[in-house]
Amino acid sequence: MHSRITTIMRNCLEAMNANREIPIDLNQIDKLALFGENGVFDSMQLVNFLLLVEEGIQDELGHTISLTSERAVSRRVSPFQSTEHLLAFVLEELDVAAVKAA
Amino acid sequence: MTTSSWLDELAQHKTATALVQDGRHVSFSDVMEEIAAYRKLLTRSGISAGDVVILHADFSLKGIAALLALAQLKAITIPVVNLTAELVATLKSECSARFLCRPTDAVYVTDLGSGGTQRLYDSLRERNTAGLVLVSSGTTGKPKAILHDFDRLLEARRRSNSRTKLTVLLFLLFDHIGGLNTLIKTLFSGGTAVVTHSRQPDVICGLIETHQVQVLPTSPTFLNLIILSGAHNRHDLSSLRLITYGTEPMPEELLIRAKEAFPKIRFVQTFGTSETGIAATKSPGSRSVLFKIDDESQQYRVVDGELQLKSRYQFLGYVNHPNNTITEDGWFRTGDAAEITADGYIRIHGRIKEIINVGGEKVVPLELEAVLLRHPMVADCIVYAMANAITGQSVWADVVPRGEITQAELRRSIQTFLIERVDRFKIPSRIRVVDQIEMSERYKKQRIRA
Repeated sequence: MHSRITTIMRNCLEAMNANREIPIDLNQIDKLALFGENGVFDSMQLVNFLLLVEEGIQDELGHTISLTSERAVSRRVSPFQSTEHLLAFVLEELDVAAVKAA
Repeated sequence: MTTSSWLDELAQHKTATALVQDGRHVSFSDVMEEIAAYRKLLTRSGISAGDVVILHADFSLKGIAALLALAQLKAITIPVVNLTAELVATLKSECSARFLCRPTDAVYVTDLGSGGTQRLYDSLRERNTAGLVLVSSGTTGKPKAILHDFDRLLEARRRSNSRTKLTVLLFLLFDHIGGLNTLIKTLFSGGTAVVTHSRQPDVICGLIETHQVQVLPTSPTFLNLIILSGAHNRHDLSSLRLITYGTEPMPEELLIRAKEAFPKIRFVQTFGTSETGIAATKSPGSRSVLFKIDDESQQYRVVDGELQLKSRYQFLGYVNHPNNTITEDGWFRTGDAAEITADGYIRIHGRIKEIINVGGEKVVPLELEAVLLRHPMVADCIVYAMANAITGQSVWADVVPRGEITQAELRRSIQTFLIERVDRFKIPSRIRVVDQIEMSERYKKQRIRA
């Protein structure tokens, strides 16, 4: 699951790169700073990226999760600070979705 | 103007066709007979002046006759096409509805029992005047019951009465100000109203062809549906002279497409609200979405970006809602975001509540839709807000594509297209491919989402 989500995030970052003047370096994808200190996105770009990831998860894994929810924003450690944190949050959300579905 | 005089005026058209229903031509004399019969039946059922009556009906000889009979009786009528048990309960408790009338095969009148009283009705009862309550189909919150002086509305339409007898399709709904306006205007001018049970593009175009319809009052959304379906190419629409469009703003690009699809037909924008009635408008040209309200009974102004109207035929108030849409100096706040151009024309940007706020930046859905419609792969689209906890709202767009294309391909193509044309914050965060655009039962695009 870990690698599938990383692939989805990579695809989304590539899609974002298509419209960026300075492309994001995908060699650092495992620990890429997304938002905040040294982050590659401003708030609007972050939302766009998160919605792309949501869409990718829905298409690839068949699960509907929200990455822009109050729960995501109110975490003590922001899931948006890096791809690593976001990955952990996505996995948690998928667990929650699985429990709900069961 | 007394009741009998508007009835006399209808009666004078005698054998002329008033309605076409299921292919049958119904004369004005037939309508008059039906009104008289309904009046007796309604009176026998205990309905009299000042009673509040839910009229569960649609455009048909029976529905129209019952509506006019109730007006003649000076009752307060609430026309409803899609009636639910929940709405009956609401209308009873909040609008003091006493009777439910279903003029289907015969008149079925149900006495709902006393539902209290509303002071707003007093002025009608004191003047022995008929009332009309229009129930708004709000996309959020509970419906608003908008009270009009029905006699005054009938009188208004008679005064602006055109002498041209036209055949008009009753596309807009029976319980909608636009639909009632069309009906009253058509009948009082001695024209013919064509009734439809379906609002499918091919059915509508078929009726235009069969009954040589000259005027189609409709909405931009439905006009686009006709064009997308190609129904206008499968029927001979040469009788059609005029398409009037209203109930929602027209995107400029769609008007251009419509003019291309119907090169010989004149397009006229209608403008109105359930609260202030329908006003005549004047545009700088048939291809322009700008307009002026060209009606001596209505004044307009724009305050803080909102269009405000004052009409001689303004509603009397909301029966079940505070009158917070009326300013201290008596103007009706339409809720439409608008501007007055240098030439004095009105440009409507859409509903104020539909404007999307992306982290403090404003996006007007209608404007973005107009740009999207210029994309070669976009057949139709709708732009709306979706809430998120980061920027408050984000811009979403649902798109009906022209031909086969994946969501990812369409997204890429649209984003590239928009980057050169709009500010970055206006580019939709999410673009979804859909088969059809969500619309209300009144053929308006539904831009308010959860």
